[in-house]
Parts: sequence; structure tokens; C-alpha cells
Amino acid sequence: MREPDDDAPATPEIERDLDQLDRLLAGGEPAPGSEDLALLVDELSAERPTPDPEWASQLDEGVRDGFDRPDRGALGRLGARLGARASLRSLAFGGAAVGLVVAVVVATAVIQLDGGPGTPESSDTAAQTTEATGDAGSSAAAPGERGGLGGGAGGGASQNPNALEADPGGSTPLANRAANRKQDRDAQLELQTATDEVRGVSDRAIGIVESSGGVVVESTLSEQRRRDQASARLRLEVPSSELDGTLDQLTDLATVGSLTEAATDITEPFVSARRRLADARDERRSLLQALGRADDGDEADSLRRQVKRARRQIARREARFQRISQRARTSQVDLSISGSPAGERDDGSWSLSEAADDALAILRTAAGVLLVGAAVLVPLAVLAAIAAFAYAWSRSRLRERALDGAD
Amino acid sequence: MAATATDTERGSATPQQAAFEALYRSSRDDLYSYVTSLVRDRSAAEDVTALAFERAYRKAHRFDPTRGTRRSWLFGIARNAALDELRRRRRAAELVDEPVDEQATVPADEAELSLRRQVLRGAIAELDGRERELIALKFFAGLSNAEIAEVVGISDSNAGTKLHRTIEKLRRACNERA
Repeated sequence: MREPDDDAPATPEIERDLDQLDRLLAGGEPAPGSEDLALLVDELSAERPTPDPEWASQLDEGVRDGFDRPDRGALGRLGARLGARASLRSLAFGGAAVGLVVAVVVATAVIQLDGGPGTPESSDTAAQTTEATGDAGSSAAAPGERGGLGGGAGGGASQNPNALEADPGGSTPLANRAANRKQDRDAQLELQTATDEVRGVSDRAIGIVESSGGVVVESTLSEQRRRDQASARLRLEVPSSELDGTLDQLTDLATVGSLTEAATDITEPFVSARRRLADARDERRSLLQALGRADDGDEADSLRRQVKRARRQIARREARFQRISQRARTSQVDLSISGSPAGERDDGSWSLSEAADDALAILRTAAGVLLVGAAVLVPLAVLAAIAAFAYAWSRSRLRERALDGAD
Repeated sequence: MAATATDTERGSATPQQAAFEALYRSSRDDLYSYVTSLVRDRSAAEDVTALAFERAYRKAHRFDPTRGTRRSWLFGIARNAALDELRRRRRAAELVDEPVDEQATVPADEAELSLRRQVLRGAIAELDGRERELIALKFFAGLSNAEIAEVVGISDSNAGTKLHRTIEKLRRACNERA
């Protein structure tokens, strides 16, 4: 790298003298007035160090051999001076290679931890959502996982407000508390199949629900022959105790597109509604007893009016209790069945579209690895470049200082 | 002394080898003279010169003709090697400690020549390292001003100006003492 000019440019006199010098060095005659320069040139040339012939001969041999025999005389010392220090370029390439390996390992680990394509999402206690993973036989949410939401208390809720003796909170043991929990559960299930199988899947789904003691609240079937498309939507109501088993059977009918389950704990509203109903009945009983002891006609009329109000209140509270009980006793399932021309037949074959999807997933993963690798590698490369530049600059400065120190 | 016959003359070298050997033959003694002027130690100069040629041989593929001549590239390698040697030794050898070059021609009037030589050597000893380097590159190695600029890392104009100033310094010193 050239330093900036810190001297004035050469004057014509300087240029003339330098030309004269070059002429003298080439063996030319000195110009008039330049005899001392010619003498200086001769004397400096005579001071020129010349190499030892033996050393020169050894070096000649070394050059002939391509420097393959360093252990001969001066060339032997040369081998010790060279050492094993790698060039900056080799170090940079080595660092880049190491950085790339580290980047690939880190990216792979990150992808594994986050979950690759098709890996089920983690579940929470309130809802589970599962992506489509393949054929109808594989369900991403195993029955055991869905059963956690039911807790054994999803169904079989008694309509007798006095039947639930245990206090859902407070001092009741954990097992009893879990058994007495009331939950409002529902699920949304999406199935994918071939167009011409939508009706069949729908019919089989209805059969499954009815055999589990459930009912079809609403059903819709749509078929478009021209576009070779079909779909069905079913709103089902099944006993909460049969929900898990029913979902297991339904997911076996076709490829699961998605499955979402939700559960809301309604134990407190249930207990509250039951208690309020019991209180209303107790109040009516008290009023009836008071009516039986009434002496006065006015008092009796007043009590009769209160009894009437109490009966209305009991009716309202009974209805509310029934609604809450119903929510705990049954579960809603929204089932949608979609058909497409390619179909999602579970025949074990690997269709072109599936292959394309898999290829796309691999390319996405590879792109992610490269991106993460670059995110790790680029800063390392920048740091390496800065370090290399700093090293080169520092070495250049030290060399120039060595020359200045050789005065 | 010219370099001896190489593979080029025997007809077995690659073009790259042939180019290197041609450079070697034309530069060996010049390079040695230049390096000796920097490190001021014959033994170290031999090692550094051999090292410079070794590095040039290994890095021949890195030569970029747009950045200068092959000679200036070679001398740049030798300069770095010599300065590294100076850093390692961390001492400056006095010119007066150098052994006399026995191959120098002996003029007829030895007394006068001896006096002039001593005056010149004294003047050279009073130059700083950079000025001595310029003298070595110009008078011992025979580099052009442009090549000197490439080796040292300054502009052509700056190299010419510094060289002229150094020569004037020597001329004055020799004329004053003579």
C-alpha cells in the first residue's frame, strides 16, 4: 500500500539529477559538473556486498530441486526459520469451515428443539390442536392425551342436586376432587378424504356417534360433481364420558386435518347452581310450614303469595341447574369432512403431491439451516476479517519500526 | 556469479518454474546485496535471502502483474523477511564490524582509495535505516525508481525525492571529509 506523498513533488533539477544517475548506473559518461556523482556511483558500486560462492551454489541447487531438500547448509537453517506458521488465508478458511460446522450443528439442534414438520405441537391443559400428519390411521393426539382433559369427571353427572356430597375445594382429598370436577368439553375435528368418499365417511361418523349414545344435532353435505369436490359438516352431541372413545373412532375414518379440543371447568357454577336450587326449595318448605301454622287470613294470603314466588324461583333455578348439568353431561363435536380430487386415500402409497410436500419441507429445512448457519458464520467471518486486518496492519507497523530502529 | 543451469535449460520445467528460475538467475546477487545492507550480517543475510526465494517460489501464483514488476514483488518479500529478522534480533550491527569484501577490486592507489572508502562508509553509517535502504535498492540491487517505490510502499515521486536527498547527503559528506 502506498503512503500519501508527504514531500513536495520532484523538481526539474531533481529529475535531471536522477536521470543522470540512471545514465551513470547504466555505464554512461558523466555530464559536465557531475564528476563527483560519477565517483560516488563507482565507489558505492564497489561497496556492494557479494555472496559467498559456496552458499550461492547451495542455493542454486535448492532452487533446482524446488526447495525440497531444506537440510543442507544454509537451506537447513531455512527450514527451521520457516516453522509451522499457517498463512492467514489458511487460517481464514479453517475458521470459516469450523464456523460452518458449528452453524450446521446449532441450526440442527434448534430445529430439533422447536420441532420439525409434522411434529405434534405441545398441549396445554385447556386445548389441544393437532396438525395433519399423514394417513387416517395415525392420530397425533393419542387417546391417553385427550383423556387428561376428561379427568374422569366429564360424564355421568347426576341430576340430583343433593348427590354431589363432596366439596370440590377445601379439605377434600385430591383424588375425590378430581373425580367430582365438572367440565364443559367440546372438540373440532377436520377430516380429509377423497371426494367420492365424503358421503361414506359422513355416514360412518353418524353411526359412531349414535352407537356411543350421542345425537346428530345438525348435518350438511355438499357435493359439486363438476369440480369434483365435496364436503360435509356435522354438529354432534355425545356423552362426555364417551368423547375420547368417539374421537378415536372418528379420527380413524380418514386423514386428520386438524383436531382441537377444549375444556372449561364448570365445577363452581355447577355447585353454586345446585346450592341455590336447594336454598330455594328450603325456603319454600319453610313457607309451607309457616302457612300451615298461620292463624290469620291475611297472613295466610301473604304466605301463599310468597310460596308462589318461591315456586317460580325454584323453576328458574332448576332450569339453570339443568343447563349446567347438561353442559357437563354432554360434549359438542364439530366435524367437517373435506374431499379433494387427489384424495387422501389410506392405501399406503406415496403420491406425487405428498412427495412434493415432503420435498418442500426438506427444502424449507435446508433453507432454515443455511440461514441460521449464515447468521452464525457472517459475524464470525467479519470478526476474522477484522482480526486479519488488524494483524496485518500491526505487523507492517512493527516492521517499519524495526527499520527505523536499525539506525 | 551467475546462477547455474536449471531445469529450464534442461527443458523439463513448467512455465511457472521457468519464470521463477529466470527471476532467480537475474536477482540472486542483487537480492543478497540488498538484504545484507538491511540486516548487516552476512550469515543472517544468507538465511533471509534463501527464505525470500523460498517464499517467492511457494507464492508464485499470487504474483499480480498489475501491482508491479516481478522484481519489485520479489524484493518486497525479501524486505519483509529482512525486517522480521531485524525484529527478531533487535539490534543494529555497525557497518564497521562487517568483514571486508575480499572480492572487491584493488585499485592502484590503495591509500587514497582506502581513505575515500572510509569516508564513504562513515557517511553511509550516518544515514538512517530508510536512507540506507534506498541506497541499497538503487546502487546494489539496481532497481528503478518506480520499483523502489513499489518495494518501499511510497509514490514514485516520493521515492525519487527521497533518493535524491540521500545522495546529496552522501555527496556533501564525502566532499566535506575529502
